[in-house]
Amino acid sequence: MKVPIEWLKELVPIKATAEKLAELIALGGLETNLIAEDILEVDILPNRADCWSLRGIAREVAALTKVKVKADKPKVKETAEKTKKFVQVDILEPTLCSRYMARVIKNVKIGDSPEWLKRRLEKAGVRSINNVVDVTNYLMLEIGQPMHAFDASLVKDRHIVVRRAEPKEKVLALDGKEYELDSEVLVIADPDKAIAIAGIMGLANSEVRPTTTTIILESASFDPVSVHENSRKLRLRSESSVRFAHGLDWLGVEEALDRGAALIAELAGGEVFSGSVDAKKKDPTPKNILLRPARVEKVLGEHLAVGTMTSILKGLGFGVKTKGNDLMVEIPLFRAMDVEREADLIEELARINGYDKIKPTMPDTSFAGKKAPVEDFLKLRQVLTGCGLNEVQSYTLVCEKDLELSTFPLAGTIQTVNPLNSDQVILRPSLLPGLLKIAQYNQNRQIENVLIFEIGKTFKQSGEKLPHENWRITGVLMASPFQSLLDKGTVDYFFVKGAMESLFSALGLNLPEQKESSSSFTQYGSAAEIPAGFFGALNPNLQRNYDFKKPVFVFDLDLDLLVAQARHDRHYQQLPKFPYVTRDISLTMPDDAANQNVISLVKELGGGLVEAVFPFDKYKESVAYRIIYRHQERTLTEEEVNQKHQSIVDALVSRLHVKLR
Amino acid sequence: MSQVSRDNMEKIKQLQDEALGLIRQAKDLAELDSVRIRFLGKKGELTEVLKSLGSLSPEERPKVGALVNEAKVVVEVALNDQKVSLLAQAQKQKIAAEKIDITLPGKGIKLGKLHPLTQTMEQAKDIFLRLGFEIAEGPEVELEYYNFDGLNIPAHHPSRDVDSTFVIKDEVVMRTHTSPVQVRVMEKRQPPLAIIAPGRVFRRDYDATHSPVFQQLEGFLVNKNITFGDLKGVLTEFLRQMFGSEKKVRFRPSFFPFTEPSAEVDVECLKCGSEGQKGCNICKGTGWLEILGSGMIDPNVFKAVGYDPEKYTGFAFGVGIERIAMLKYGIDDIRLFYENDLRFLEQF
Repeated sequence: MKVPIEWLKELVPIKATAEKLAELIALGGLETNLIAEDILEVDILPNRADCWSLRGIAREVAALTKVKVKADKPKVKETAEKTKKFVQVDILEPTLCSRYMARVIKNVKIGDSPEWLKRRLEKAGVRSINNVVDVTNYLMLEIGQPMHAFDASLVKDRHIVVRRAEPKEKVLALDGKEYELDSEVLVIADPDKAIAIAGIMGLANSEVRPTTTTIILESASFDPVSVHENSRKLRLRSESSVRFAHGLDWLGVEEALDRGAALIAELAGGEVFSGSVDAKKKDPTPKNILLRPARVEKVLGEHLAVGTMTSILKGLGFGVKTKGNDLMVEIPLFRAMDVEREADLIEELARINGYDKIKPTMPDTSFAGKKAPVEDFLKLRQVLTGCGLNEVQSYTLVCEKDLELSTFPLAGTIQTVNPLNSDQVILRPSLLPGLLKIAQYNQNRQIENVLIFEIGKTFKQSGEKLPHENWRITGVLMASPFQSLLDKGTVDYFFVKGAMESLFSALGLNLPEQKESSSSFTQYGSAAEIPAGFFGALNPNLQRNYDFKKPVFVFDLDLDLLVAQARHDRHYQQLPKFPYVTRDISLTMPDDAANQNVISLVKELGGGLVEAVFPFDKYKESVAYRIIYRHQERTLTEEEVNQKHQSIVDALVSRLHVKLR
Repeated sequence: MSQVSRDNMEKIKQLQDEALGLIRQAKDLAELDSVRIRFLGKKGELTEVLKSLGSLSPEERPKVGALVNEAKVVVEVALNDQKVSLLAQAQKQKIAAEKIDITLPGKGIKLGKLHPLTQTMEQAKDIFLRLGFEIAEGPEVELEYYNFDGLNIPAHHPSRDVDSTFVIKDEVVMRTHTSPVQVRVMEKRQPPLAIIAPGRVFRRDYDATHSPVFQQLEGFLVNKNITFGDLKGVLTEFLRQMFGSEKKVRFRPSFFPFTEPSAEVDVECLKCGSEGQKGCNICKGTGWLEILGSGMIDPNVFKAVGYDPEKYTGFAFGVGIERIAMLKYGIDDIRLFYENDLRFLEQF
């Protein structure tokens, strides 16, 4: 909200410079910037309905600087003609319109506003229209109460009805646009037609025009929620609707009307009818709230003297009486919207007294029962960066095209019903489409070596209200992992597998047994599947879809599963006291005798004597294995080793059909 | 002295000279060794002279013997000297041959980097962990109840910013903040609680300072005597550890539906200080940078989870990780974080 300082000074004495004034209001809680030499831009917090006016800001300044706002009662010169005889008001929806007041001014001359008024409106960011409309805007800015002026000759029977709109009722608003209403929308109508969308905007059919001579001036109180929802639904926000949506001062309705009538009569030369129509059920009474100084101290951690509290509250316009050790505080109607509880009063005390007056203290956090952090995610991040992968963070929302490119099925995915743009619609069902896109993005920027990973959540339908969320750890690798191209070689299946082995090792686990991967992301025969996911060469179709220039390798693991299996307990095993003996064998492997079968068979037959077995050389289909034999309690004899070794070799030949070389 | 012994002495002299000559010429250790064998070996020429002493008279025997031994020592010393010098020479050659360009690049895998948002988040988490907080988590797709109603944000209220909320379906939204974790934790557990909840949140905004996805670190502390002073103490400590202990921090009244009183916390401008300078592109001349929102947990939030607000008080706060990372690293466009250009990521 724009606040012209010279106007504000009319409402409250101000000694501070413009800069100091801005800082003062900001430290009171409303973000304030000096946008011109003499204009403040004040951000009104959602709860501060009372601040949507210059008077509201003046009250803030008064409370913060311990002065009083200036106020004088409006005096209206009235003619003998009675308003109540001229205009009739019926509220059919009292829950949506708690008060509707009207006055009538006749013999007005519609014309330009005087210069001072035009200038003030302009500084406050409001366009001057004519002397009558300008008066309503002027008072809205100053008091916060929006008003509307109707041309009385265009209101049939001068009978105003506050009713719900008809379903699909079409109206032409003052902004020149047509709106289709529904029965949730409150309208001001005459017996034939709607003449205003309540609290939001007047309609063209009854607007004040150059020929207008008699005016019905409306000042009313509409339900904030209804105005907020309707303004949102119709996509029609006005200075008026914003104020109604936050809630208004009950007493401002009458004050604005009286001042409006007087000012119109002054500026447009009219005569004001006697009295006003005031349709309402009953006036609200100010609420009283008990304020306990002990509670204030418990919440703020700072002792405030009762005298200090009383003076702050009175400065804000609250009524204060003592009640034993406590205070009984009467909330003025202009603060009824946001001060409803003791907690709200404590906030008022804290902010007016100044947050800087509260001493920082350190709470005791040494209580029992806290879960120690398990930093598995961080550990895995560090392992992968050690393996040469850069961490990325991709968007949670992807689009259909992303899934198509990576041939991921759309079925079972979850979408947002109100996406921001067409690129971000679907909750990612996998991290891979996003990572492949990032790899492509980098390749397109002449970056050849792309080794990236992400830890993030994926989403799928669960049958419950909320989707199933799954932490994944996923990567894409392309070209060289080395610091220098002098180191020859690029990433391949075994590089990715090495990274996987490191990941498992960091969690205290062994890489489990691998099967051929059946994932559509990978190339058959060059990728492995394990219970937690898969890793290996990218499917050639995807390689082509993304136009990758170098072979790409990927991995995708269920991180929830990994972390659930992680072993953080470690047990010491005694170091061996006796020497080991090695035997090497060279095997020609048939297609289906995978390395993992050789290893598990040797271990199985080792019967505690085989400490380790591993391949140490490979040439074409033949692989050389080294077996390490050791006994925990004594030195093995040559004979023992030979015997065991021979039985292992025999079993390899007979059970795995390997050939000895 | 007899002719025989004179001949012998002559011969010893000759052998010694010859040996010394050959030693000087020896080009490697093998050659040197053959010299040793030829003169000093079991059947070496000087050894042979020693063996032939038996044919000499008893008077001459010791003289000639002494002479031979003297020659042997001279030869041995020469052999040794030459050996040392040959070894030194060989080493020198080896070193010369092995000379490399020590300025060529190092070998091995190029270390990957953690994403700058991860680094910032970890730093923030660490500070709170050391202050005695524990970590909790909540879902990224959340029930409207936890995202709004349970946090004292009623339906149809202007503070329930429906337009910037991604809706999944009836009653289900993408969480717009990490605060729902407060409600989830408090529903399950009793005070005392000191919790931080890191995670992604979602809002329908997209420009240089707003990303539809961004990350927050939520925190809250609930116990019997937690005060606004404690809020100030903990958050001041956090900001000083994050931005430097000399930085000024200020607390400004604000509004959040789930805290009362609420405070916006600012740190002085990292570039121009709390006085501010006209045209500063970071603080816009105000001297202050808005870093986080906080406040004393609203009694209505406690009531919704069944805590007695008369018995317990607490504070809560939420930090935007992107905002901190942008300030710390001098990044002016939030979208860089999610574009993942490796030339950007490798800078951190």
